Amino acid sequence: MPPIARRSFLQLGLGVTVLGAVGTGCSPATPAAKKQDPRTFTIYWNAGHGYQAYKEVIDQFGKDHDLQMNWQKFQWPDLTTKLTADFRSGNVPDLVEEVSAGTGTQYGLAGNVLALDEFASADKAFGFPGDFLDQAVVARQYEGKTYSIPLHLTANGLLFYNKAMLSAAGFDKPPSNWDEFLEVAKATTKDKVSGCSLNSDPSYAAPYYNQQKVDFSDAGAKQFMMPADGALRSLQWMQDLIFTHKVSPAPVATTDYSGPQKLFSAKRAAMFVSGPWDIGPIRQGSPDIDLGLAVPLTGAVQSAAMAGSGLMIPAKARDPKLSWELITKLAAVKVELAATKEAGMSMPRKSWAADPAVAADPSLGTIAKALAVVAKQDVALSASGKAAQVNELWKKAYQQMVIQHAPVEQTLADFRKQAGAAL
Amino acid sequence: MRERLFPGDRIAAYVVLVALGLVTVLPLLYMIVLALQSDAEVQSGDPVLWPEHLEWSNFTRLFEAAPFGRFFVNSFVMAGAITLSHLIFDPLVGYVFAKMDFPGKRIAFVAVLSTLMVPFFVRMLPIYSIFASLGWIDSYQGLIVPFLMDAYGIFLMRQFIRPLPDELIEAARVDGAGEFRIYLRVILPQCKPALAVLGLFTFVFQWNEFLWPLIATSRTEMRTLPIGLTLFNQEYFTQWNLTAAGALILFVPTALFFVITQKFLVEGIALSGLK
Amino acid sequence: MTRRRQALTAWLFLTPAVLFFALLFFLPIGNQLLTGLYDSDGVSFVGFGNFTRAFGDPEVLHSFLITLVYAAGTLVVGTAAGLGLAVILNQALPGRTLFRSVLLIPYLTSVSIVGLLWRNILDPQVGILNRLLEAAGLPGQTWLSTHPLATIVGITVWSGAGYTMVLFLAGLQGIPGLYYEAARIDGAGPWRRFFAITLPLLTPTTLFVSIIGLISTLQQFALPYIVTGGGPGNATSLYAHRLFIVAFNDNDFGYASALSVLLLLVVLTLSLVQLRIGDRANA
Repeated sequence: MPPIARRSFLQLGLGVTVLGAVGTGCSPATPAAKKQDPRTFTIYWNAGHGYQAYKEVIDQFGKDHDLQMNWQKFQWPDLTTKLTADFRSGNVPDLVEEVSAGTGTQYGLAGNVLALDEFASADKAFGFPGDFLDQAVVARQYEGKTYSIPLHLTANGLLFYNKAMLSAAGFDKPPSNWDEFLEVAKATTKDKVSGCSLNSDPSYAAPYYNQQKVDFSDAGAKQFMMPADGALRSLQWMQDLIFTHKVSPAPVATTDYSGPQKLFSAKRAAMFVSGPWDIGPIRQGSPDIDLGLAVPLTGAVQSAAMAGSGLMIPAKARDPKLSWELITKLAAVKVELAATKEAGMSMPRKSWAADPAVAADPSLGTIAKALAVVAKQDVALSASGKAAQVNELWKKAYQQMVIQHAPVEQTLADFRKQAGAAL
Repeated sequence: MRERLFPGDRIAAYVVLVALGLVTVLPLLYMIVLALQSDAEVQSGDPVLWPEHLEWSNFTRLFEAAPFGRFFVNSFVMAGAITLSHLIFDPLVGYVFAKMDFPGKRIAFVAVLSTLMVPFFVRMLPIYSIFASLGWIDSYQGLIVPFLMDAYGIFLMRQFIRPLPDELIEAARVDGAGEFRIYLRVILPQCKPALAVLGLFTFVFQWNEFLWPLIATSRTEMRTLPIGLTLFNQEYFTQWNLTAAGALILFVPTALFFVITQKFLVEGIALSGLK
Repeated sequence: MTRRRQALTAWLFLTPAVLFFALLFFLPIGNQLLTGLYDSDGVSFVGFGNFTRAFGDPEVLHSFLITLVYAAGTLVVGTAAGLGLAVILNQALPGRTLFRSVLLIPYLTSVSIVGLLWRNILDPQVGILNRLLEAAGLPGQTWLSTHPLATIVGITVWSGAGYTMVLFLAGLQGIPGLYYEAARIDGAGPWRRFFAITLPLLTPTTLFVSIIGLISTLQQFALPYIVTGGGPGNATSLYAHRLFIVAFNDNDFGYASALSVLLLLVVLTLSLVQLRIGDRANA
């Protein structure tokens, strides 16, 4: 192509672009160039939870109320960033998925999301809080007000194990306590295979310290990771798994939690502790592995860490009653069961747990047992508005101990000091 | 007879180039490998050097899961319009700082430069609030206006215009040319390599921009490509195959743009040699 | 041309820029920076309290320190690599267009993709690099855990060397061939020509590269955010990353604004110093 023609091509391209931009900016065909169309209902959701079951509910809701449903999906950090921007500018969506219990409380106390008790008490058919597992409800309440409705309820602390590897090492059932766990881990560690695999994400430490009766925080008393001896024991044990007994590789600092699952799927780890979200990838990625799922270990106690998203209504939402109605539809037991069938996600309703479909499924049965032992969450921390900050500090401390082999006692002490100062 | 720096210098040069070229390209070739893997291979935990089957369907899955065509257009309009705006305004302002003297010049230049020193997310929220009240959310102007020109481009042009001979400008003035005409006819034509570089980098940067389009849009039809790509990560794991496929699609226009501006860079030699 | 006419012309040409910068930079930035004078609740006035807090905050001090290290490492290695490549590829080597294009590809790829890709490749357990090393009988690497900051520098240089190279190429092509001819006639060899002609005449470009390089490395946030999440611990929590966390994670916009001001002051000072050095050399 001769030089002149290339140049003209570029100019032409740029010219068309500008015309296009200007033209579209002016034309009536521009999507929503004016203020938010009142017949639009905007929802912020996590990209990983875009289940068909929800889509049907949302579409139907749009038809029933003659609304254009704008179902926006994001990764959690992006959703948080965008929501922060929205709260500060007043340009908010109509319904938001809450990343975990306590987030709603934090936003609620800042005046950014509504308290939902009035809606719930006027709507007996919905069954809140009665039909919902206690821990899921309580973690979302502060001083008598509820700031979000639980949507999913999962537990971190389930024991995933490779049945074949365990039986090859002479174990026909999974470990049930810490001593057995270490025994199995040592027996299954050989060559390239590790007995277990710890996660770089700090929230995965929770099952372990909860099993030593340690509470992450007591914001009212400005105490963190207490009682101290339990905290020391649990974190030291985790550190020893990696550096002393060498039954787990040191995790890598990344922002993705799938490291242990990948290792397990690659048959390079015999066990790992996680939540139901890792079941799907293992089944899909390595169908040849005979996956065993066991209830959480018992340390001083048997315990698991609660997880699971919720639903919140922004304070400046255009029509909170409408938003509430959608919540009731999305968190209905029928829809919960459909989502479970579709994605294996576990749910907060007692009626869900009692449903024959759920009770009959062995994995779901194990999960339900784990849900029954989830540790209590400190609502005061969320209420203080400093939860995110303290979690950042914990992440640093955890990674220092587990990746960088920092002395446990000192690191815990530093964490306590910094967290206390943050409050 | 070509001069030699040292015996075998040409071979040494090639060795270095090939080695660096491989280090540069292999990770990206691996991205192609990732894009063609199946879901099972991606989740299996074992990295795959060559997939069982070449899953070309990953590309179509992208288009099925979301209106990728629309994302593409949005990205193109946004990046294209911003690039054009930069090419119009940055050299003009750069010329003023490079060749003119006026009271307040030093302070103005420092002020302009200082705008580079604050991360974008610092000015993002007030702009978002203003745009929300103007109804510019979910619009092209909302995406474009914050980036019409910037200190980077102005600084780049200033540096390139500075060494140009003042005699040329003086001569044109003596000939009676108006100031703007001097800029258009004398200065701009000399800047082709710099304009090519500016256009390329502006386009690439805006094409890959994520944070502002994330905040400034709330409807799927107005999303841009980089945001569209995040739709494929599940909550607890990254769907590498789809993400990589999307990354490749994202990459194609910037590569094309580069090929086009390549020629301008080469022509620059010829032009400067004629002086 | 009279001073008056020149001043008028200058400000006339600058009018669109003045409007734009005022409305879309200074106003919003000023607005945000004012919040730096308030506490995290947005209401209680603390004056310079946020600033003194920054100086006593070990996280902030640590992140500032590692950012300086990161910037120095990236700039030195990146600039040298870019210049070297530009000089080599300015020669009439067959295949140079191909090499130039190839070396620029990482820069054309978005930073989030670059980050994700390298995180994937460098994973000690499931990343392909270690599998290949294993297959070749070599020990695996755990750079993400043992040398995280150096790894981030490496990835930055990998993605940015092509860009620096292009800038230097444009600068090299702006040097009139006549100078080299004259020098050759005078008997100057290639090294002499490089140091006596090329380097000095490249000063505007080098200055640009180093100032822009400094400004952007001191503000690097995306790579640590994507590759290591600032970890392990806080080993790669660069200043802008820390700033983002304070703003969007801790929701403490007052403190974040104070941190932005401090960053601005540091970068401004360093840039002015460089500008002064550069302009003197160029005069």
